[in-house]
Amino acid sequence: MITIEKSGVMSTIQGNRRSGYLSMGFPGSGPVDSVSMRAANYLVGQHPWQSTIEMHIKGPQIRFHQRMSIAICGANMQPLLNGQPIAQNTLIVVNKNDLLAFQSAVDGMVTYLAFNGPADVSEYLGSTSTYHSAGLGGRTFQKGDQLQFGSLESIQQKTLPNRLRFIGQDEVSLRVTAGPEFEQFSKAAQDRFLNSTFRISADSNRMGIRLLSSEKIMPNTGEIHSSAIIPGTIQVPKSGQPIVMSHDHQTTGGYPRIANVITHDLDYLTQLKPGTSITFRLTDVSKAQELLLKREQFLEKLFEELSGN
Amino acid sequence: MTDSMTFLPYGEQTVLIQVHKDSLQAACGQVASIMKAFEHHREDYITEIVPAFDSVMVKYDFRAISFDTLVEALTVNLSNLTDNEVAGKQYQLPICYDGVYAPDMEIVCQQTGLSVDEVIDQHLQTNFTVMMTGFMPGFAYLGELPETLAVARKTVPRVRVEAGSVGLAGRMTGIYSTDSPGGWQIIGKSINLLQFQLDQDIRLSTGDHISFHRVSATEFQNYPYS
Repeated sequence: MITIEKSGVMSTIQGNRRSGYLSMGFPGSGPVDSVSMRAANYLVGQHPWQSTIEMHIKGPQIRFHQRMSIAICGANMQPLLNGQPIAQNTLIVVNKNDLLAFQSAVDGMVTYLAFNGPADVSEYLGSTSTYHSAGLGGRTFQKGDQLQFGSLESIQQKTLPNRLRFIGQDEVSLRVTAGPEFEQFSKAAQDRFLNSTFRISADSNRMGIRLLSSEKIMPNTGEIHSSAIIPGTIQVPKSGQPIVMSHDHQTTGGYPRIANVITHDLDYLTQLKPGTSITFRLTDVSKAQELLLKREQFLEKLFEELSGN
Repeated sequence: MTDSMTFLPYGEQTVLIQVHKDSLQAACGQVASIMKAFEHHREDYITEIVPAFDSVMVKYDFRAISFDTLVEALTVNLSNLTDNEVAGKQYQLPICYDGVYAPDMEIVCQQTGLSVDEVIDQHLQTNFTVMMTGFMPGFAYLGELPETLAVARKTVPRVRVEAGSVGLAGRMTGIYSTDSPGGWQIIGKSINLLQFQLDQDIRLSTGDHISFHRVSATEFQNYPYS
């Protein structure tokens, strides 16, 4: 068992995506950086989508009530165990009464803490992931919360493949596919969208990432009849400043959808700190599928080898 | 019938069926027909279907089928849609218009020039059509209100509207399905639509119908999901 002694900025349980309830208004939720979450679960020898603690900006302080193994992946939150710096991206054994403290993330936004044993977290509609903005499927951590995580079982130390190690970036080019309303933007607006540099707004969260630009991207039509939203959808509201929808997205929206950040790149986008410069470049659906397939096959193979041991 | 719809790639795992009709009512009708067709026949590679006012989003397993093959399959599956109205399911829900549940009744009366009784009568007499579900968990956009009952949204949305609150906005009425911020004009209280759907294994869908029957505050409190 663990106790949350300080809550941090925003920490929630995230695990498998909620599926089959999109038409009812439930987004998938789950990790905003699925690669880092699965990296942490790999190190602790768990199922790739096992429940983890997702920590934004500054993580909590956690007291352990028994010996267990943990792994920390994603943005570097300079973790301290009993006041001493410990490494991320590796297996760590903690003992009874140890205190794990996270500081502010230095090179990204989100960090995952995984445990070597099943998380005793109740499911809501088939998923343990918290949809906190709707107050459903859990809530953000508060001081004094106690959770059943981890086990005494020893875990073999593994090396994390380089491509699963998070590396912060200051300037990023993200690939997009054309959105359903792409053609409803003038050629000039399309060009501006593809040639402008956007900055990540501080007003971003698990629902969406707001982008700022000196150049406004104005659609020809102000609003559309509300239509389905998916993670990665870039909506352009009347302000002309695009919003990229993240995993706690509203399931429908009425703003024109100029493009979609490809799923492969969305994990990187959600890690970017406010102020980071990004640009978009157009790709096609088959290329986006190919990139996602390669990554997923890599992860599947890795976890297959794990269960084979 | 597929000439009135286009299949747009939308991200790498979904296709958007965009319906082209002259009116929103006709578009919703078409969406209801598409949903009916999926009820009869749905391949395993389709993982989510999200109907909206004039579109249906279909999420698919791109490892099982390519976009082009999927569009071919959908074109065949949806080729026999009729223009006849699909018979949606009919639900009747309790509503209480008593003052404590109707904080915006006065504003609605001012905006419409109707008396409280006239507002209630017109709301009760309309058999609403579910025009879209979603946006927030369990929500349904219900149309269309008579022109005489159309009102503007609140300029400053409420920070918290309780689940079950019945609001008006434009020519739509809706039942807040979770406690949430909101700008619709609240004229009554009905059931918790999210819990009702989850517990009863009901999924409201475009083309279904909802009408209200009036109950007193005391009666209302005894209803399940109130």
